[in-house]
Amino acid sequence: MKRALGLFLILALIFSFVSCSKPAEKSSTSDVTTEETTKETSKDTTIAEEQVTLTFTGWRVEDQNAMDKMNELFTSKYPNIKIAYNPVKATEYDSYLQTAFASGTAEDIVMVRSFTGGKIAFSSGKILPLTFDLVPELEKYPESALNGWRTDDGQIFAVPGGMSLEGVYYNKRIFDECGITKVPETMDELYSVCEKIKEKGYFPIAAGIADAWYVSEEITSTILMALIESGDWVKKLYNKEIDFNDPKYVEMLQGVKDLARYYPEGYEGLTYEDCQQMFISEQAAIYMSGSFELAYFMETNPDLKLGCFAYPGKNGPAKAMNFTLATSFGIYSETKHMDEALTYINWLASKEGNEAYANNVIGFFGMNPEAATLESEIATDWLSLTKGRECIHMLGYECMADQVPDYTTAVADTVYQMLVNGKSPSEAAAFMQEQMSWYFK
Amino acid sequence: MKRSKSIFAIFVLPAFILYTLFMLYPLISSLGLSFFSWTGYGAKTYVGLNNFIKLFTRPEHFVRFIGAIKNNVLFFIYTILFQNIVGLILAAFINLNIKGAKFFRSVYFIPTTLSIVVVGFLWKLIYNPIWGPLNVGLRAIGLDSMAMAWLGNESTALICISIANAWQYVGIPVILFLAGMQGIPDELYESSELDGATGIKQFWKITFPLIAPVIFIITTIVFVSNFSAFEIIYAMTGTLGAPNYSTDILGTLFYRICFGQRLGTPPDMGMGAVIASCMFIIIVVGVLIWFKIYGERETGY
Repeated sequence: MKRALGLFLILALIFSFVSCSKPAEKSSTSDVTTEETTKETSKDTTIAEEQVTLTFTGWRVEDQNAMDKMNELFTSKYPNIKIAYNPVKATEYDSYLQTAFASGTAEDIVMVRSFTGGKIAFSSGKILPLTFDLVPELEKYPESALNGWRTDDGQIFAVPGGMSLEGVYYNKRIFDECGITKVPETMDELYSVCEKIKEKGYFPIAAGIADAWYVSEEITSTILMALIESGDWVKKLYNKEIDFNDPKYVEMLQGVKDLARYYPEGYEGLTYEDCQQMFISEQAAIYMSGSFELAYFMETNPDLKLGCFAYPGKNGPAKAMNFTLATSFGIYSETKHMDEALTYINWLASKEGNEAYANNVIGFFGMNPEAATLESEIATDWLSLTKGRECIHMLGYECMADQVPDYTTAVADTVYQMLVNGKSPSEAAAFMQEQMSWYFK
Repeated sequence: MKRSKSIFAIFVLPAFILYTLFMLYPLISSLGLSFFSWTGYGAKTYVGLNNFIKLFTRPEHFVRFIGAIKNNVLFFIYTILFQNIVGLILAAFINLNIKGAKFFRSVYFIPTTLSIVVVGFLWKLIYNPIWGPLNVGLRAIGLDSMAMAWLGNESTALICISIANAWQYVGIPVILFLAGMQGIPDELYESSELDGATGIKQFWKITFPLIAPVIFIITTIVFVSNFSAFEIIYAMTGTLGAPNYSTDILGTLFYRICFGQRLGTPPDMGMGAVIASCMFIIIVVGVLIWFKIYGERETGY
């Protein structure tokens, strides 16, 4: 009886395997046939019109609509090429790209991170190196833009897409209410503006130090660029001629400490998103961030009267400002539509493509120097801040990110030690130097 | 006899194949990754034991690793204290069969069914220094001095996260304790009453010793889940274990090193695998020791 039952179960098992494998076989054969049919149809269209859809991926999920509008402009000019923008969440983008490259399923056009992240992705060999022959427009781009997507031996692997300018947003309505008529031009003026706002019962500045990247990119880098006056300082630091004990760096930390008097209480636990909400909901008057937030702000609270100014220098208007090389466009080297991909990339690199990008993805600025016209008023305001100011890329990304701890983490730790654990700015600078000692070896 | 054994082997085979394919193979292959240097793109390079040596000799790695183990132990202790104590109290109350006890039994279990990310977000809002109900409440009753940045303070952040974590899973100990309490024969209580024991004394002398095995089971579950935890920290203080690494546990350290950071250090899969191996060893060794201790003092009715 037992044996009979065992036999029966084994048979049942075998049958279930067989019945499982059958539909699979069927579906695979049907796949082949559909593939064949699609091949045939694509052959037909090759003769007829050569309609191609390029896929495009990036980490700017919030730009979906804007990118679609921009791509429609492109398709109206090149009717045989359609672009499908399928972004992936920013925090998951890099691991997504790794898998897509490894499995050979990446999109035809891919956004590439600037500096270290981009170089690592390029090392996979799955991103097409771009030459001036392939994309002639690249020759017009400034060095500072190309540097973000260039290897140490000079290969360019993406067309610079958009840059974001980093500075200060302010709420015009609250400024009016507090009787502030002029944006501050020195640090002391900024502090007195904060006093006035505080008296009226608003939070002067929405800022917190719970997110390391925010401390690094939007607070410390922005203040530092307002103090150093020219990019030479950064070059010297990168060349190890000076280190983090330099008086300018200490001065920057002092600036962070002075400004922290006007941060909301409990700022140690405030994240970037908390600060964003405080500013959008008009509880706070000033918000240090970048132009990249413009589209989001305007969409979330259309009544918000936005203004912007460059972070003030010590005794007068700053001579430099902080910016980021944000987005870029690269070609997947194994794309089946190389010609079309090159056509698209060349258009994106052109004056026309740059303008289409900046006017749709508001807050990002194209880097082709010929591109000029901007439709958005506040975006124009942001761009005008660059007049008479040198734009310096936010500190640390060019070369201080390839070991533990990277610059971002180190500076966030330093600011924490200074603001919470009571280190003086010069002690904090020494702490910073100690953490980054791997770079100066 | 021998034949029937081989038949049983066939029954086990499908499960064994599935388990090997989806559990053992990934486990072993990811442990194997710890001998390679790999950024996630392109080719892997064999580096032997270099990753292990780096973890234990380079101060920048070792300090974080030791810190993560320390925080993990604290995280485990806080969670286990909160879960066992609160779970026991709640179960004891439900066991009194007060009106509506069944309703509360379900209520305590609801958070367990929520996603960790939702729980993290919820508690992050509660702890928010400006508009969080906790601080608003403290200010409302005049305790302004106690209102603070709960998640921004090194001395409170980990405890606050442990409470959120324990709150989510408190339903499980409640159910287990309750089952244990209801399984105790009534005769024991009756005879103890004849001997003059009541209330609290009954609880400590009868109920508690008999449900001690449940504490063992809960501790095991919490140990395994806490030493492999990641999501709750990720949702509440981020992958850096802010503030100042005071909530950095093995899971976040692993994530940071293995997948790199946003625009920061490049991914180091090999080193990540080393940390994953360490987590695996800690959990296996910890559970084995715990089972050994328990096995020696097993009790029955």
